[in-house]
Amino acid sequence: MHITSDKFKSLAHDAIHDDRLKNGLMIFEKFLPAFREQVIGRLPEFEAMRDQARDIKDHTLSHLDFYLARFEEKVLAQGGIVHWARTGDEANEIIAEICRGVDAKKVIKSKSMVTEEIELNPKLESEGLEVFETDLGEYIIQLRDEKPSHIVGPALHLNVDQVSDTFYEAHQKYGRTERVVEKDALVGEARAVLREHFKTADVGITGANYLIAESGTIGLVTNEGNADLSASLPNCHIVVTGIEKVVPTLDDATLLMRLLVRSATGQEAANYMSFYTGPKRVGDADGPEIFHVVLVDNGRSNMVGTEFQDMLRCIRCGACLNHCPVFTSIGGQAYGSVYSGPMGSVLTPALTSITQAAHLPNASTFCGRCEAVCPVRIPLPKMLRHWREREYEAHLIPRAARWGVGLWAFLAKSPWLYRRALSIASFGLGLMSREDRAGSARWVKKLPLIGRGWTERRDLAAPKGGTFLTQYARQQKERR
Amino acid sequence: MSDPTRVALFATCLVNLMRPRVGFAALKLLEKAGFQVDVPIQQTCCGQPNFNSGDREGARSAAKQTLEVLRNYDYVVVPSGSCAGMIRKHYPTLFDEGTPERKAFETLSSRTHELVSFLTDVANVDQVTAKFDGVVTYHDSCAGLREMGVKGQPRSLLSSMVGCSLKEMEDPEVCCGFGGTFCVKYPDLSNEMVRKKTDSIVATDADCVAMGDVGCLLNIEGKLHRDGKAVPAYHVAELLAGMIKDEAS
Amino acid sequence: MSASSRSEIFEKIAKGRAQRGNSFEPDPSWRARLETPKADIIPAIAQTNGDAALQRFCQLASILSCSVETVHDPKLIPDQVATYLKNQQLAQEVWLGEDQTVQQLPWDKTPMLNIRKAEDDRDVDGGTVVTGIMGAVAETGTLVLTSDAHTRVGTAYMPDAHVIVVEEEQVVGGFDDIWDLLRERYGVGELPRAVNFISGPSRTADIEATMVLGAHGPRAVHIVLVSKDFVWEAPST
Repeated sequence: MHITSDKFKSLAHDAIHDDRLKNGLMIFEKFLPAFREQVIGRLPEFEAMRDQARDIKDHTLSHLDFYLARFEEKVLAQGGIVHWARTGDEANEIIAEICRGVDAKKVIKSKSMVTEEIELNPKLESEGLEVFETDLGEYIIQLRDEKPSHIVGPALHLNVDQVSDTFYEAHQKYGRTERVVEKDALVGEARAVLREHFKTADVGITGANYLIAESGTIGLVTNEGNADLSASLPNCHIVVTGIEKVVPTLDDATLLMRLLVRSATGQEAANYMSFYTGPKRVGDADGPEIFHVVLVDNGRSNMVGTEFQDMLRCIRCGACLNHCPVFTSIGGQAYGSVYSGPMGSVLTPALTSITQAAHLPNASTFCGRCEAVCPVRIPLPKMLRHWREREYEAHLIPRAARWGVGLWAFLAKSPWLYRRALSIASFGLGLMSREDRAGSARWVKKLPLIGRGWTERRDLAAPKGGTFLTQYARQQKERR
Repeated sequence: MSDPTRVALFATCLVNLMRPRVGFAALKLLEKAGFQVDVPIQQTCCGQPNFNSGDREGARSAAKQTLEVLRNYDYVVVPSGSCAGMIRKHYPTLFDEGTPERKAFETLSSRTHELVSFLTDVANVDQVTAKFDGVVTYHDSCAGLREMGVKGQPRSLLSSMVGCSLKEMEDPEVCCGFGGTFCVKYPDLSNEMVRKKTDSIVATDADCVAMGDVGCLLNIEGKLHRDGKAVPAYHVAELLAGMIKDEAS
Repeated sequence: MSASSRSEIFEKIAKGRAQRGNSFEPDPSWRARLETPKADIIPAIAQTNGDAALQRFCQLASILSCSVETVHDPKLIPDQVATYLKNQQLAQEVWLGEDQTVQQLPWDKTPMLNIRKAEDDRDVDGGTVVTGIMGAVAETGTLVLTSDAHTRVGTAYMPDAHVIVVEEEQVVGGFDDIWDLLRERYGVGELPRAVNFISGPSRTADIEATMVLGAHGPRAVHIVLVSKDFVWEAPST
């Protein structure tokens, strides 16, 4: 997994000033939370279901190897094949090998964040395969050679004109030389182009929203129907997903499904919620004869048993992104990782390294809105803080910042020094301030050192009359 | 005759340094509610800056200092949801479960309250005598709302003030972008967040904006002032204690 | 490669698990859930039955942009399908599912309809498919399809229009009831290859979050509910 999170600050700066992003960010910030709110208002059991989902995921993660083994056993019993990949590269090699084995020329894919994570497409293309993303958003960003900007709506950072330009350029080779501008027509064009590829693909690759140990089943949730075409038409279906997706029973998957669709898009049901168990059975009218499941670790097993284990509960609904004031100010691509927002800021360092992803856990106010909406109650701020602790322990934060933190801790345990230091600061702020026009208050317009960031676009009201503790002590003396 | 209940006001660094009046407002409100209040002079920082910077050891030493200062009080009242949340929600997690130290912090935690919710939920105050002639819009500070459950309490006390009416801004529960050191480490982001916040505040046409944390207050007030928006920002205690009379409103 | 990868992943998980003092085997009560699964919280909206379930099913399916009609006598269905196609300005041609529900209908009594049989899922591309189903869910207005010798799952996704015949006994309260039925039919821990919950025509909101119907699957889903007494009346708006 390649990330550019070290450039977070400049990417975020550019994103804030990119007017083309505004419309897409509005969708996440305003529309999706409103849809969610509306639909959970009709489900009084929602909070209790969140508790239960948390407990079930916790239980499963506490016996993860047991449930994975059970899942594997059931898939094998149905005639499917299970592969285990320690890394992204290993997963890619396994998938390429399967494709070679069926002499594949063309692969159709439905949306899978794990295949984005392991960068599967470049690998398959290097093997001479044609690879088509079929989720409309994924298809658009594939044509533009971009990374997804959101785990649920990967292309919502683009406006209709950008999509129109992209299709105009990319679809010339299909003889579609007229520019299409209306949304309906753009959807229709993608449908027509991809339909031919669906009909002629040799392999269909999907992700999985959950793996069900009870029956060796994989669950898929989409609105477009592309995952089901990928899982039905080609003779070979490859499922690629992370090892943390397993749950015990169909009922548990149903519980997660009910939470997922409401949290993600504010729907009561996604259009297509499908459960696939093994290859085509003897006598079945249709279905792929070859069924593979590639289970990807890629850093996940390292999280089991650690302070980051709770992150493995994540069902990728995107609610934490939509409710994050940082995410909705900059969009997903600024994070430099396919996983963005609060969940991405916890997961990315775990799947890469905290050195590479240092900015992500720091770029948070700990406002807690992510945790408040998470359907499986992941304590996201707490985990972000745990990353900061790891950074601090490993001396990864800038020396000046570390020095400042140390000095502050020293002041906090030295009351007399603390009072002196704050009095000096109070006096200093007074010196730096000047009176406003009305003459009723004093304002600092420019702070030095670390305070510079504050006064770039904000003033600071200067304190009056010394610190509270000083004034209070004086009053007490006068009273006596 | 004074109430034998011992109440400590834990002022917090930002009140102490930047907005002393909030401390006096808190004292006034608590005394009006019938409490005799101490301001322990040895109080320092709750350690949240260290805690949030990943320095657990520094946070622990600040916590111990705070425990020493506050352990003999029946109630600790804090005019900040954020610092109250630190003591109430986070202190115990800094120490191993089952140890006597952890027990002491759990006791402190159970006695610690955010100011306004203490007034309404513990002291059963349901109205204040201060007046404010105008429209107030209330910003929910994150820790107050999500760690301390402060939502309706300040609104109901503000509504009890003669002349005062409330008008909600769009998304009052969304963070203003202060976030402690976040605001200076990521100033572009922080500014974008407070820009949205102040846009929603201005859009209400309210006569002032109120909130329960001085961090948010400095951020919102500083942004409004820089952008030339004449909406004053107050800590809710300043309004409830009637301490803004000297200002044009 | 795979064998050693598997054991390495399992070892790492086991190590992390042991750090929290957890055993490989879950405790007996959880273990038993795999052999005798029980529903988790079933929301009230998933617990309707009788006419209330039929009403909810029709109502929610309509909200999902399905067209819904009720019929008392299944013999009338071929004629109604012909009328539906005419109203929708679709060709008078249908690809019939091979399931019992559809096959037993008197299609030969509606001579203007061109009846076809798919040899491959791809045949139905762009056409109209008529099938029965395994069940229907009132909770969300959802249709449930399962793969078998008479059901081509792919033909639910390839046509432009999908006409689905639902018998009133097939409508259940919630998803949980479907699992019960399937476990009864196939045994616990066993499922047909495909169990597909379909809620309305295919849609996407991937361009500027504007909802557009007919992304990859059918642009229209028409439900014919066969019921002795129940009549669905679409809201007038």
